[in-house]
Amino acid sequence: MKRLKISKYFEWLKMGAKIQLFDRGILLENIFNFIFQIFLSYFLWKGIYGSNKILNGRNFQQMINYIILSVGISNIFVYPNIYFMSMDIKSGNIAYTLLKPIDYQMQFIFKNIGIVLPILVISIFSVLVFQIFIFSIDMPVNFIYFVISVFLSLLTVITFDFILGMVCFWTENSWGVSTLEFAIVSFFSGRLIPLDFFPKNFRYLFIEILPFSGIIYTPIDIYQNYWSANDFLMYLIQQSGWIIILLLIGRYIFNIARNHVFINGG
Amino acid sequence: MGNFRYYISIIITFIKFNIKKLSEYRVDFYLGVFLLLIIQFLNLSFFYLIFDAVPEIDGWNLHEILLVYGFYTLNCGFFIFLFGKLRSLKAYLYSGEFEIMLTRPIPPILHILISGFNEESIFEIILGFIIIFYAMNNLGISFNFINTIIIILFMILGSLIFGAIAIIAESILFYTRYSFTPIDSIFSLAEFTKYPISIFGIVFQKILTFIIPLGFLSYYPANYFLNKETIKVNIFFAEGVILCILIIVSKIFFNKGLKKYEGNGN
Amino acid sequence: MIEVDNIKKSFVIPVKKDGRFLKNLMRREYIRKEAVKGISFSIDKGELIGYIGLNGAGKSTTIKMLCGILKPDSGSIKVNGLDPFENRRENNMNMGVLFGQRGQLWTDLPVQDSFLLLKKIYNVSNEDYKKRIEFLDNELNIGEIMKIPVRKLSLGQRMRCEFAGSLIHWPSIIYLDEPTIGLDILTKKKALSLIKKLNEKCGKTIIFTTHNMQDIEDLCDRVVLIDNGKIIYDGKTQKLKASYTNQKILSITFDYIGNNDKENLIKVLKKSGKILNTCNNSLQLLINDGKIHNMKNILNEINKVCEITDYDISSIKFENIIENIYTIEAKS
Repeated sequence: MKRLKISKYFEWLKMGAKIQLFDRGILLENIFNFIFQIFLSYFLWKGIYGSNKILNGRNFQQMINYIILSVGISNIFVYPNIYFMSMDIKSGNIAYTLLKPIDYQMQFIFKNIGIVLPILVISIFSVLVFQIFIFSIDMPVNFIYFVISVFLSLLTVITFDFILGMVCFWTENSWGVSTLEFAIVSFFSGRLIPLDFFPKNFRYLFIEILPFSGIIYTPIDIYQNYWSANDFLMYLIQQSGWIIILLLIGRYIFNIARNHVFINGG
Repeated sequence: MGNFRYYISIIITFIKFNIKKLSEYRVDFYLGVFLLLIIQFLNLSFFYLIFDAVPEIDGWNLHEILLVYGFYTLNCGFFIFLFGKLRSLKAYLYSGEFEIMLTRPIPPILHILISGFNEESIFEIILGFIIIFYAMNNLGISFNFINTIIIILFMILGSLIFGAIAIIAESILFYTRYSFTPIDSIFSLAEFTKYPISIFGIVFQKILTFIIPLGFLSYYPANYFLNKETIKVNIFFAEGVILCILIIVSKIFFNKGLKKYEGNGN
Repeated sequence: MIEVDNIKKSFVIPVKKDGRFLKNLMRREYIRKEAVKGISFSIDKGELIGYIGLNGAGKSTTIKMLCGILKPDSGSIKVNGLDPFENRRENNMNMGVLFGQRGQLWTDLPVQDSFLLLKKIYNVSNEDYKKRIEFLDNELNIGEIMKIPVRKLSLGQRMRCEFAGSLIHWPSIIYLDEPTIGLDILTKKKALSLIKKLNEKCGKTIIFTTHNMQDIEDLCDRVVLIDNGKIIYDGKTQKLKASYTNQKILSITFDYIGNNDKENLIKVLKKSGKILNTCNNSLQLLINDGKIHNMKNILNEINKVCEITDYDISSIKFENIIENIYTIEAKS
């Protein structure tokens, strides 16, 4: 029984990977966006730094490293899962999924891992290319820690996506929800601007407590700075804790939503 | 001329009916506006955080940057208001709705534009005005009648330029069997114009002025009031010429693409 | 009024190979499919024509070329002297289209607003608009649903509104592509009677495609059959039926078919005619020569092999005629 379940997960994973790689257009777009974002951020921050040597603990070189890594990890966000989930809901396809003995949340999670993983791999690979040829980023302090943290980042985003996707049971404006999610996560994860720039009063909340920092800020921190095994373990436990909480919230809302669907009928 | 009146009356009727829809209470609409406000708040917070750390970016202070951003918001809002539905062309091609549009006696482009309405864009326009007003106030530029007319003129010209570019980008769908359009890359490019494009280097600035003239969304309108750059030509004349060229190019591109149209399905 | 002269159309279709997605990523292979291989016909004003074809036969492609959506690779089409593709906008002013599976109304707006937009688009005067809405309300009962947003309508209500929408500008040529798909019996009857009225009382030229042969038989004076990109029949419906009047359908029920009798039974059946369908212990047989003398012989022979408990003789259905034609075409 257990072996059957695991193979099912891998099927969903494979399905997800196929979806992403088949569209040539999307692949090209991703590459362009990658280049654009780095270009934009480079000049923007060059303008911001001006003649300043250090801002909030980083010099210009470190800032650029931060930005490039941020763009690399940001490819976690490429796939509009919320939009597709809302399409499912609107069209009524969700009814089929609910009827089958499938765990909807697990399917969603594994499918999305499958979708994002290939892009993420290409992304990290591109970052390494930049590292060698263009911007001379330093090697990661601890590559394994970094990879694990990126994977946790992926899980955080997916579980959070699922929760916001559930909102689509109650509203038709899925594009709005998607954009909002992207904006909020972008802002509070440190994607656009390192969390050290936030006012002192908010820094502790955003960096240490909320899970969003674990999406971009913390993985980059792990890449650039030395983390003792102890520190890393603490982070691991904390971020995993958040992922589990998000998972449970997702399941809870899903159950409410499912009852809502059945009450409203066809 | 009779034709012009014909088109205008269709557009006005369309707008009339959609404004009427606004008077009904709709959760989705208010949610959309709420989302819009949050996103704008986050964008503006980004500027706040940056200027908390440095007094200026490449010689532009906070209010000058806000003026640029205000024009960006204003023009993008009006662009979405007029041309928002262009993004659905791919969907229309796949679903067959485009075929039906070809059976009507109005140009297909017009039909696409009036196929749907984006009410939230009206709020983006209002917000744009507010940001410009705030910035101008703090810069000592008077928000008098003449300046208001000039701002509206910039809004119309800028959005039309953006619209023509979008039409060219979407037309590429016809040449790639409905699979590819660089419209998303164009939107990414437009994001550069959130900031004064002069910070991105002379080459890039020239690209955004002469090749894909997105600089007219924000930089040149703001520059009219700030005079950060000496331009030898009358800006309105330049925009007018560029707009005319773009209109011709987009028309040719789209109509040639239409000839390649093969319908869909059996 | 409509002159079609030897039009041809072929498409280029990409071929996706399974499993080797990396190759697909780099280079795509294409094959050329000829959808329409040279079709000619002409339609006079006021005709109601049934256009029949299997899926993939080139039916929709022809209709799209007539509508000006596609341009024929070669040959010409003239609708009232105009080329529907080159003079698209002028031609469209006078053309109505109803594609069964695709909507043409604005989904977020109430039906009435969609109609008023169409009124503007087609330059319909206020008096004409009023008259026509009244007429359409009488025929299709849309008055009560005019204020409802299109997306909130049921399929039947929506189709009625779509149909009405295609008539606001009172076109003299109407193309109906599967307009009755998915409709319930009552709605379908309303739609079909309206089509008849539009043709007989209002003199409109209508081209009607559907997979339901009964509708074609009831409505259309003339049928055009297309198969594999070519026209295989173009003529009066009655004439088509007449050439098959001798054919009869024999329905037989047996109480019990013994296992050793089965083989012989099938031999006799195949000798007498074509087996149309079977169900448990009954079957339907298509017999070419339906004269009473022949029928008696056939019944006797079958009864000899296996006792017939019930039988029924009926004229061949139009549907079977068409089916027959296509089967013969497929074989040749």
